[in-house]
Amino acid sequence: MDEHEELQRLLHRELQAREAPAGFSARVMARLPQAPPSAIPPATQRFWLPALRWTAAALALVGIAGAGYWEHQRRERIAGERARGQVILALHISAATLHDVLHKVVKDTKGDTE
Amino acid sequence: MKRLSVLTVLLWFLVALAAAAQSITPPFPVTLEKELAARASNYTEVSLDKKMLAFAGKFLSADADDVEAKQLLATLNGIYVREYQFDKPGQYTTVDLEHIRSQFNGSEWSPMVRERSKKGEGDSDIYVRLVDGKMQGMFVLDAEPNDLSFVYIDGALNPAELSKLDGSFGIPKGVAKRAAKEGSK
Repeated sequence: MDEHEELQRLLHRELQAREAPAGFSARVMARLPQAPPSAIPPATQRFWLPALRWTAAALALVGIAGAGYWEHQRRERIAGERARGQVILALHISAATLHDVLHKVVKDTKGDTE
Repeated sequence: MKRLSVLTVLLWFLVALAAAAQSITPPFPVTLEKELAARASNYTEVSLDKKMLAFAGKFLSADADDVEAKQLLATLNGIYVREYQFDKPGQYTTVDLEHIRSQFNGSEWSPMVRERSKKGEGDSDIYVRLVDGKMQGMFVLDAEPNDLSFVYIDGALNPAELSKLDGSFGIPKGVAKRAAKEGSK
């Protein structure tokens, strides 16, 4: 029991808050590593990062413009094929109508002369 | 003076507008077209103005038929086609036909073929528009009991050009030749 009390007293004495010795803070601060590196990138990075960003943006724009152009071309081709079909249909009907009329005329002329 | 110039500009604008409207509007009676379409069991309406013809011309291929069509289209201002098929006879009247024909009674238009039947259900007409002795347009009307077709081709139509259509686009051989012969008379 005495031993136990002795240990307690010893711990109490040793763990008591006490004033730091003079110059302690300065010594600790001196041992700390230097300040962290600056957030400013090096000159090479400073050049390439915006260039990469602009390149990516330009590529995206070219991509969008290309897709737009391709879509426009596709639509125009479809409209053109439709127009071509209409022209052929119009020519076909025109010729068939003309044919029918002339056929009637020829038939009637023959009928008259016979 | 300023007022006069404004009026002149306005007048020119109106003239240009009227000319533009004239060049793109087929000379078919719109109300009648709608009525005929409503009565028809099947109908085809094709309106191709100069712009559309030029646009379609770009998509014609390099084969012989298409090349000939392209050459023909180059001189035209428009092709307007109406074809109506009816389930039974009597779906149009002689008055309707007269209404259509009346669009081509101008001084420039000359009837080339005129066939008449009693009920108007076998009538045929070919009108040509001659300007300075040159064919500048053609109107064809073909009326059958169950069918009514009319075609207006606007533009410099050389009768010889018609022969190029011979055998193309399902056009029977010899048709164009006869049309050309009739046209050059």
